[in-house]
Amino acid sequence: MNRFAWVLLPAALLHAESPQVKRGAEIFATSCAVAYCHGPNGTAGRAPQLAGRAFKARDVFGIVLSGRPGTSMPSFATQLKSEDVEAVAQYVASLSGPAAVEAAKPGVRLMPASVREGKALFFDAVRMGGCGKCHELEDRGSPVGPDLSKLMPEKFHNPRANSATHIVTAKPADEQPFPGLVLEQTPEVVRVYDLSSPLPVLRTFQPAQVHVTPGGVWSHAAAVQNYSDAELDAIAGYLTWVVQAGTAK
Amino acid sequence: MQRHLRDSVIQLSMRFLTLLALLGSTLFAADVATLNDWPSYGGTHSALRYSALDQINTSNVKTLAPAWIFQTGDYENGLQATPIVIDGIVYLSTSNAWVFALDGSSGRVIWEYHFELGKGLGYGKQNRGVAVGHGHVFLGTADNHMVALDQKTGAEQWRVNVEDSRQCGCNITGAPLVVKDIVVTGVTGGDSAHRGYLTAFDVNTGRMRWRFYTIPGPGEPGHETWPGDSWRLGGGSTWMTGSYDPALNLLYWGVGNASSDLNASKRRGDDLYTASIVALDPATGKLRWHYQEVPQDVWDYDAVFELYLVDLPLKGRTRQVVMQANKTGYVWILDRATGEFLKAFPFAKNINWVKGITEDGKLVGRLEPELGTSKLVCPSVAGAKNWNQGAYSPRTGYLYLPVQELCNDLVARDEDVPEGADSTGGNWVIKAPPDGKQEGYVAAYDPLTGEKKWTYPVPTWILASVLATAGDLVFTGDPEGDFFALDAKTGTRLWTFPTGAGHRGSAVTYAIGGRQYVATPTGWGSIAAGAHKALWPNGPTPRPGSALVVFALPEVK
Repeated sequence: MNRFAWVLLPAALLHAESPQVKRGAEIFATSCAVAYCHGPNGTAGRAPQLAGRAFKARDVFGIVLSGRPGTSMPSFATQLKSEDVEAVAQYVASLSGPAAVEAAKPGVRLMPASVREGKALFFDAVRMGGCGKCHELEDRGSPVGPDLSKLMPEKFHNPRANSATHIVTAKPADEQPFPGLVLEQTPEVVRVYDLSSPLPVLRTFQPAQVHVTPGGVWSHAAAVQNYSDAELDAIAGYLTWVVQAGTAK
Repeated sequence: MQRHLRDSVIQLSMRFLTLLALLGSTLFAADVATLNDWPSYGGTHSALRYSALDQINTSNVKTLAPAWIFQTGDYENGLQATPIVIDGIVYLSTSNAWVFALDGSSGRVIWEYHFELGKGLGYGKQNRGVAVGHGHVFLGTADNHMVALDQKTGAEQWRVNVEDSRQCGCNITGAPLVVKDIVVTGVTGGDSAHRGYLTAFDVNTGRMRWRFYTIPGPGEPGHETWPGDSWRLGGGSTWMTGSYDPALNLLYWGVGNASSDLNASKRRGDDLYTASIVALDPATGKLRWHYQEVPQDVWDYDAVFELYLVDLPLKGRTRQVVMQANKTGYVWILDRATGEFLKAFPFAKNINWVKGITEDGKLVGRLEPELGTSKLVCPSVAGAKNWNQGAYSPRTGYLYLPVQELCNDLVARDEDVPEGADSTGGNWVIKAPPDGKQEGYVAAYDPLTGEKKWTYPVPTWILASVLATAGDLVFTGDPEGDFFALDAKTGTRLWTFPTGAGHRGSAVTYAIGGRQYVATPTGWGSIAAGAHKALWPNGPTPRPGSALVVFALPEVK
């Protein structure tokens, strides 16, 4: 079947499955999709997404029966009859559909322990001035500052010296000026990050409400002051690893 | 003789003081009740969900009829919000973080704003309402942003990513609270490996003013109640909305369960300030006092729910109290100036997690989950009451609560989960109580005596908030789609309107040009949607939707 045929198929037909799968869907809705777990139709709550992942029914059957030790996935052995577990397994397998191939992720490179330590420091939730507050990497953090995966690794080894070439000074009409990073500047709108707060604030102005000039009182050295030299070295190790992993793809 | 005279003087003084106290509480009553507006999440900062409006009352409620209906168009996950009403304009938010300003008399859209949610939605797309103040409308989002909009136009003014939702497994589902020149938001994450907090922002600039971690860090008092590194990911979320006493200048907030929820093996200690009520200085976020209801919680017993600020004669004198009814099945009453425990009384029938609570607040006879052995514990992790709020009427002196009689089989489990991941520490299966039936009801309690004054049973359960008015009416809605009014004194059902979709939101009342309106969100959704079908498999399936249905008495021509 070509992909246009898929588009033309009514949604209902895609799920016009056997009574067993239908039964599985009912059990799934009341046992697996509840309490923040796998979400409606397996589209993820806070437990993993199940839809589109090309699971095999026999693997799902085993996991539902025994649970996954060390995680919040319990065993349903005492709660569901065997035929119901089988129905759920068939249903979950049926969720794979045409999206499964697309969702299948390339192999992930294992991260060495020292790199993991750098990553933990980069995204340290306990540290108010952590790197992740301004940089997004590997689907973590906030994309306020530059994408570090695009930088040359030598930049990582003295983060205190990093010059901040894009820093501006934003002066709103009735406020003190603040150091900022412009996200968007058009004749209609100015969107600029206020970097004076421990959590960067994305401000939105009409152009007449704010005056933006190049340069400002902000330094990367101050931004990373909560990290020791050793910690910054560990972070550099992590960033180098990310860049090299990106190059390897 | 002299002694006699002195006694008379004392008696006179006592009478004068009593009179002063009465006057004082009368004045206070005006602050705790809403009038034309519904300015804050719980009504006023006292969070009683009580309105002084009485145009709609027990004698005429049977003629109450729809005035207008607003369909939000966001039908993905029901409608859980409390509408905020100021100067005749209704501010309503939906589960996908859309915000509407509506004309309160016609439902006409004045402006709308659609936030674009990112990835990593923590505890799902749910939004319990906005806060309005200083010319801004404040929105917390399911991807953990705090957003300020222009109250007049809906234009975005600032936004802050409070913490990366993908990393923390947390987000914002509760309504923010404006106190003076700050806006305060809590965070979910109590069932994740996460350390909870409150964050305060400058209303105008969005700059962070302070953050209060609900789990003290190294060197702070209370840190010693967490062994090893357990403090780093110990839960203590703040997912509902607090209260504020302007006279005492104290901000009150409830703190959620400890994590891992059902297994305390890595956090043997009191685990401060989880399952606690905290009072903070709103200027600095510094702790003024705390009271922990459940030390070393192992039942997922959040203490995050609404905090009613009322004055009650207790232990010989009028006390300024903070009162909370929560998952534990108890109503907790503290002195809100000092945090002193005054009393706790049970409001649910099925309670076995403790045998009782002593007169000084100590838990007696804890029934704790164990590794590998299942135990039936009541109330369930869903609580004898969940986040959907009760109401307190100063007229009747009753506390009106939505109650559910449910238990659960609990079994603890050892886990070692990374930051932000699910950290339940065990499993629960919700069950009917051992000797009773699985049931839901609205009930009225006298907090002075702990006595239940009336019970109004419903077919399943009540997952919508309760609204009380000076018309001696109590409004709420059920999953089957009926919105109804009860007599606040007797619990007699006086009026019903089928809105067509299940009720998960919080009704409010307001007035424009002398006409009183009652507005209720309608639209089933959230994690309760699946749980409902599991608990009541043979009943009707509650209908999704997302509309604000607004009622008024017929206009006199």
